[in-house]
Amino acid sequence: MARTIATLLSDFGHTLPTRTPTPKESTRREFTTAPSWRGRPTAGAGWVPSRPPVKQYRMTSDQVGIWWPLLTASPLPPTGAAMGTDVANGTTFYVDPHGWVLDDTIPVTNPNIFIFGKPGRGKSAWVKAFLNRMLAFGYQALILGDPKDEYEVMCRHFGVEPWAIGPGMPARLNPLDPGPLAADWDTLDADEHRRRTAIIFGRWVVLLRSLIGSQSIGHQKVPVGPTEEQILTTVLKHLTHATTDSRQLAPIVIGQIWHALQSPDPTLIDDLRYANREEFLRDTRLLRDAVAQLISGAMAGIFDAPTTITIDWTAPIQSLSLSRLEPLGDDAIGMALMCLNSWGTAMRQAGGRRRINVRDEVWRQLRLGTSAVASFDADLRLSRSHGDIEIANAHKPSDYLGAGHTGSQAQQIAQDLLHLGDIKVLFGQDAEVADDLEQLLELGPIARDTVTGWAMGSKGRALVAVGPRLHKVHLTLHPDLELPLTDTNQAIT
Amino acid sequence: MAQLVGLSLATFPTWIAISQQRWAASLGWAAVWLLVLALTVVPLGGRPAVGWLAAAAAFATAGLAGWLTFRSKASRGAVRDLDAVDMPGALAGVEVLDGPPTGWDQRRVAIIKNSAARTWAITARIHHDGVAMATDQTCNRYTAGLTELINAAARGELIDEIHLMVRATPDDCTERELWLRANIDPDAPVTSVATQLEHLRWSQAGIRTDTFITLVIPEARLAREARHMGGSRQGRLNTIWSLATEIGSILTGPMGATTVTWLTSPELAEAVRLGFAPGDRDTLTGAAHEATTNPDVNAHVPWAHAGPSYATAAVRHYAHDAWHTVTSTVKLPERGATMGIWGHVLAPSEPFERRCVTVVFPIEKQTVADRKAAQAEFGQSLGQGLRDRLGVRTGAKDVHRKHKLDQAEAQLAMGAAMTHPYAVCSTTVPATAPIAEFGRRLDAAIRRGSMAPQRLDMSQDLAFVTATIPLGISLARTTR
Repeated sequence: MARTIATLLSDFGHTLPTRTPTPKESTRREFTTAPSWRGRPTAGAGWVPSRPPVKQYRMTSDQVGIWWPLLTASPLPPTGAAMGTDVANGTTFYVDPHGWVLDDTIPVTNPNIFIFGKPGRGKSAWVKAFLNRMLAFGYQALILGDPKDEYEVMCRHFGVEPWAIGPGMPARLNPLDPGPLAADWDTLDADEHRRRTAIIFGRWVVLLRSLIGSQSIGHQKVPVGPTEEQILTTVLKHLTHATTDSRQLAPIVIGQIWHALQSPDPTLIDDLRYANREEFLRDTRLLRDAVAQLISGAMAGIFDAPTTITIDWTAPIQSLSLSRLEPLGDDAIGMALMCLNSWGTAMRQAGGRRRINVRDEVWRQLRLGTSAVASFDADLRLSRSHGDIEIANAHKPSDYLGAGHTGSQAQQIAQDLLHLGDIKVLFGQDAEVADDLEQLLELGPIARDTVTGWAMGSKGRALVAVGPRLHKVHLTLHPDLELPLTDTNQAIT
Repeated sequence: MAQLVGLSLATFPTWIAISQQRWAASLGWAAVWLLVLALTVVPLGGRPAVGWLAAAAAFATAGLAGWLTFRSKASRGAVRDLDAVDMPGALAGVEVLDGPPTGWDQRRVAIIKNSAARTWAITARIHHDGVAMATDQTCNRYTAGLTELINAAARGELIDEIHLMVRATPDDCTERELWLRANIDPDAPVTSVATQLEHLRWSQAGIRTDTFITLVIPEARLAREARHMGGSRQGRLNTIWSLATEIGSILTGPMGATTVTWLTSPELAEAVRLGFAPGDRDTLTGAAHEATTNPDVNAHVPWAHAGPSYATAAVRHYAHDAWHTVTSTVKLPERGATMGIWGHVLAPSEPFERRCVTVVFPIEKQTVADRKAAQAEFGQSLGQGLRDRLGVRTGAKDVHRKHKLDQAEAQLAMGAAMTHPYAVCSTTVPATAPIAEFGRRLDAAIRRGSMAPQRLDMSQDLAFVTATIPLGISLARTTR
C-alpha cells in the first residue's frame, strides 16, 4: 500500500492542512415550496395584480441584432483630470495617463499625449486646462519652448516669471549644464561617479549629435558617425576631468568644445589614436566647423554660456518663451527646442515630482534631421521609465512626415513616433487632412468623420483616442477659474 | 382557456334562438357574440377589453385589501434573519445561494433560486466599449456575437432566457470625491484645487452606465443535467457555473465585452438595492472605501435590506422608497429597425433621472421551434391555397408574411435558434419629481428611437422588477 502524500510529508516534518469535513448536505428535493408568481395576497406583501401585457416578437436568432442594448462605453475610472463631457454617453471624461498605463483594463501602454488640430480649434486651451487640473495632484509642468508666449499668463498666475531667451536677451541657458546630478559630486563614491557620468554624457552626446547633425551642406545633413561621436565623448571627458578629478564635474559650454577641437591637447590626439595634430585637424574639419556654427551663427550668445537663470525646482510651472527667436527662422527655433529638450532632461533627473513636458510646435524640431527626431523618439520611449507625461502639439499628423525626405530614416522614425503616443487628442480638421488621419493614425472612418464633421462644429470639441477606443469629448472650462488662463485670443481682442 | 370557454358559452343564446326558429333574435345574439368576441380577442394597449376588466378588478380588490403595498420586515422591526430575502410580490419566492468557490480568487458566485417560477439564475456585470464609435464592420461583428450567444444558449438546451439590462444612473461622483481626497497635493496651487471642486459639482450632471446579464435556467431542464455534475443542489450549482463560463467566453469573445464579472451574493444584493434606490450608491461606495482601512465598517447590504422599505403599485407607476418608476414596453416599427435604437431611451432628460432598458430573450427548444415553424408554414400554405382557389388577390402584406415564414424555416434548418424577445424600458425619478411628466418623456424618447411605447398600466410593479432588478424575473413565462 503506497503512502499518501500527507504521510510522506509528515516524515519530513511538514504537515498538510486538513479540510474540516463539511456537513453532509441534505438531500431534500429542490422547490418543495411553490409560492405564486404574484407573491402573497396579504396586506403589506406587495401582491402583483396582473401580468404586464408585454409586446413580444418571434424571430430567429440571426435577426436579434436590433435588440443590441450595449450602446455606450463603460466609463473610464474617475481619476486624473476631468477634461469635459463624453457626448456619446453623457459621462464626465477623465484623462489620467499614468493611471491608464497602470490599469491593465485600459489599452494604454505609455503616458504620451499627441494633440492634432487646426489652429484655433482649442489645442492650447486643452493643454492649459489639463496642466491646471493636473497641478492639483502634485504634477509640475514644463513648457519646453513657448514659441508664441501663450503660456506667460498662466505662469504669472501661478507666481512664476517665464524666462525669455533670444538674441540680446540677458538670460543664458547652457544645455551642457550637468544639472542636479552633479550636486555633491565630491561626496560620491567612484561607482556613483561612473553611473552619473554615463547618464550626463549620454544626454550631452545625444544633444551634440542632434545639433551638429541638423546642419546642412547643400541638401545633405552633416554626417555624425561613430568616429565623430567618439571624438565628442573624449573631448567631453577631457573638459570635465570626469575621469581624473573626483572633486567636481567641471561645468562646460559649447564654446569650450570648439576650442578643444581647434587647439587639441596632445593627450586628446593620443587618446583618439591620431598619428599627429595635422591628421586630427584634417579629419575633424567638418565637425569643427559645424560646432563653430553653433557659437557664431544665429544662436550665438544664447546657449553657449553658463546658465544665468536660477531654477526653482519646486515651482508648479516653468516655461521658456521663444518668441524672440522667431525672426531667426524655423531652424533657430528648432535648435532652441532641441537644447531645451536636453535641459528638460536634466531637470527630470532632479527626480521628485512627476512632470508634464509640453512641446508646442513640435514639427519645427523634427525638421532638423534624423538626430533631432531620434532624440524626441528617445524621450517618448523613456516616458514610462522616468515618469513624465510628454505632450506634443502639432497641426496635423503629416507634420511628422516633414522630418525628412520621403522614405528617409528621419521620416520613418517620425512616422513611427505616432505609435508611441497611445493617447491622441484630435481637434477639428479640414477634409484634406482626413486621409492622414486614416492612414497615419489608423483610426478608421469613424474618426475621420468625427474630426472633419462633429469636431468642426464648435471650439473645444475633440476626439480622444485612448488606445483604440474613441471618445467624443467636449472640453468644459470654468468661466472664472480657467477661461482667463486659457484664452489664446487675447492678442486679437 | 377561460376565454375560449367564455366565448363558447356566449354562443349558446344564438343556438337556442336558432333552435326555436327565432331568426331575428338569433341574428341579434350573433351580433352580441361578435361584440363579445371582439372584446375578448382584439387587444387595446396590449390587453383585450376582458383582460383590462380582469386586471382592473384584481387591482381594485388588491388595493382595497391593502395587498398592493409592501412593507419590509426591517421597517416593521420584524427582521429575524438578515440573509433572508425580503422583497415584494414577484420577488417573494426568490432565494439567493452561494455557488461553488471558483477561480484563483475562490469567488462564490450568487445563484438565484426562484421558487415561484421554478427557475435558477446567475447574473454578471459586463463592461463593454459600446457601439457609439464602432464601425459598421464592428457592429456587424457584435450582431453576429449576439446571435452566437442565443444559439449557444439554445444548443445547450438548458438556458431558456437571457436578460440584458442597461442602467443609465445619475453619477454621484463618490469615487471621484474619494480619489480627490486621496490625491490632491497639499502644496497644490489654489486655482487648481478650486477647479477640481467645481468640476466635481459639474460632473454630478453626468451619468454612469451599468450593464448586467442574467441567465435563467428552469429546474425542469437543469435537474436532469445536474445528475451528471454531482446531483443534488451542488450538482445544480456546478452545472449553472459551467454554463456561466461557457456564456462568459462568448461575451468576452464575439460580443466584445472587456470584462465579465459574475456577481457574488453581496455584489448582487448591492445591485438589487441600487435598483430600488439609486440614491444609495454614494453611501455604499463610501462605506466600501472606508472598509478597506477600518474593519469595523460594514459595506455590505444584507439581503433583508436589499428590497424597498415601502413600495406600492399605482395604476401608471410604481412607488418604491423615495423613488417613482414608470415602465413601458416597446413596439418595433413595421419597416424594421437598426442597431442603436435604444440610444434615445438611455439618455436621461434630467440629471437626477435614471433610465433602464432590459432586453429579454426567451429561447425556445429547437424541437419546439421546428414544430411551431412548420405549423405556421402549414397554416400559411393552407390560407394561401384557399385564397388561390377562391381567386382572392394575394396582398403585399401576405407575400411579406410568407417570405418571413420561409426565411425563419430556412434559418432554423441551418441551425439558428427561435426566440421571442421583448424589451422593457423604465425611468426612475425621486418621489418629489412629477412622475407623470417623466413617463411622458420616456414615451417621447422611445418614439424618437422610431418605436412605439406601451405603458404597462396596472402591472407597473412586476414590470419594474423585470426592467431594473437583475434577478431574472420573466414576464413571458406562462407556467404557474
